[in-house]
Amino acid sequence: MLTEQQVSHFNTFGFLIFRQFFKPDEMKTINAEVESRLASTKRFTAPDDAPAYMSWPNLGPETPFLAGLPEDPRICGTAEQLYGEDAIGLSCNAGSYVNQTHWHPDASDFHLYGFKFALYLQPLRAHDGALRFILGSHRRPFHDEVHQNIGESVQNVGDFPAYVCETEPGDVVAFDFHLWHASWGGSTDRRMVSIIFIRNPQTSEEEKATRKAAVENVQLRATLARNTFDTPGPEYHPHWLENPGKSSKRQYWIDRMGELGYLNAPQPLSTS
Amino acid sequence: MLTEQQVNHFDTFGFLIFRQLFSPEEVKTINAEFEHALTSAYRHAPFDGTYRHWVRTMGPETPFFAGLLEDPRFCEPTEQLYGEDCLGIVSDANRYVGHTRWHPDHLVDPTEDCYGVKFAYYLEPVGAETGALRLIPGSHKNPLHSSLRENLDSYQLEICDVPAYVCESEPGDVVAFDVRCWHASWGGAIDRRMCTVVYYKNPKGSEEEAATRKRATSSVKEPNNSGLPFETHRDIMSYWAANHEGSARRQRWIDRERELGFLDYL
Repeated sequence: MLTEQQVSHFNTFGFLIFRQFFKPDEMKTINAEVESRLASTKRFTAPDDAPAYMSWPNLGPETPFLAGLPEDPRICGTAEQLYGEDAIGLSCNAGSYVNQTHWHPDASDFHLYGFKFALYLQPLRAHDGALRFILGSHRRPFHDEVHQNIGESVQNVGDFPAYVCETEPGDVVAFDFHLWHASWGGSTDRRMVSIIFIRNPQTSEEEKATRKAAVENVQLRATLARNTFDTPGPEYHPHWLENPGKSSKRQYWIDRMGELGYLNAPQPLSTS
Repeated sequence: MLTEQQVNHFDTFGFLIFRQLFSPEEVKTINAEFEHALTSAYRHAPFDGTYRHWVRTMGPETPFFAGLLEDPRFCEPTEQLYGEDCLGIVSDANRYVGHTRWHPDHLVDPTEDCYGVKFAYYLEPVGAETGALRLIPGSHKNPLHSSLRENLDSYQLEICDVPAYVCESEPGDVVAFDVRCWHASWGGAIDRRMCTVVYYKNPKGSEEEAATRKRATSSVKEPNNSGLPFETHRDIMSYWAANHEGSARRQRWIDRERELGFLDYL
């Protein structure tokens, strides 16, 4: 349960940091599940053996701890406090990132609301890949001014005045979709787990924006799946969709995601 | 002359950093004038680290400092950002003690307060834990400015734990920031030497003018907070207002500042 101050902090700056959110034994489990999935990717199959960006979903039975995170009360409770009790848990993805990430928000459409929980598996500092935020840039008009400023610029990621979220394994950073963020430096295997929630659209404009985002998300995830695996599986594992535990929360998410188009998408194509 | 990119950066984030704006020779002169100005002004109460020392550096004893308001490196960017009729307000020198809490210098609503730019420069290298200026970029405008005013105290965060951008600087560097931008500093020596040059936008319309007069009224009381005899401030500002050099720019400032009440105490 977030305090009033935490909610206000999130609204003012666009993010929150939860220090040591995951206990050491939970981190061991998360690391093992990420490692096993990463081992099955095409990480080193680039022509010059250079590691490439890999990203995959974790809603299958082979990663039970990660698959359960969206329904973890610590996580969905936070989402429900910030984005409404009918907030929708969309995904629990993991990625191995390579080098820097340029400035971007996760959504530019202000009829689409949501946020991301990011968990980095290595200690990260200012010059080796820590998340950077343009504080308060999740709100207009500052969001648009930053867009104009960054869009016109040829400056490096590190040249923009940002707050650097230095983190240790176990820390979690939650940030709004509209917040401008980036990272500078970083290894060739910067591992992150992200759990994404969206607000259940409240108006026809929000519903339209969410449906559009669903189509884009499906296309993006299919591309990433093809880049990551020789034989990509489905984005939403059948086991998770079957909802064997009869979780009413999950069932609501599945039904609503189906309506909004997140599940109607074609499966990623195999590159073979 | 600022580039378009610099103007956009300032407008968006509320500040700019000019690296090595002062040459090493100028830094030497600044150091010498700084020591002279503060030692001389506070000879009745030499600095012992218990409270901040502050003096305007616009008198005959600090000719380099006194010329900074009219230095094109300062007044021309200001004219670009705040209009050609902006007003040169003060050049000063400070010995700080301890941290500086989070605050903006001015209110965000131009019908409540005037606004402008402060050029700040430190005489020692300063970093995140050693007194560097911390800014919340973009907080010179709403909604961020007012959100911080309403909520920041309730977060009960240490100065260093408030998310911010740290302007690390070396002697010779200058940070220019909009006076409505939230800023602070953390750590630093007991004798943290910092100087500023400040300009205000010339108010337009009756509401802005009233807001600027309100600021003028409160700034007239400011000398009482310095621990210096009132005469020290009066003599320095009287010298500046006499405009012995016959500068047309300065005369314009003086005339307008007299109208607005900034020089009522002379």
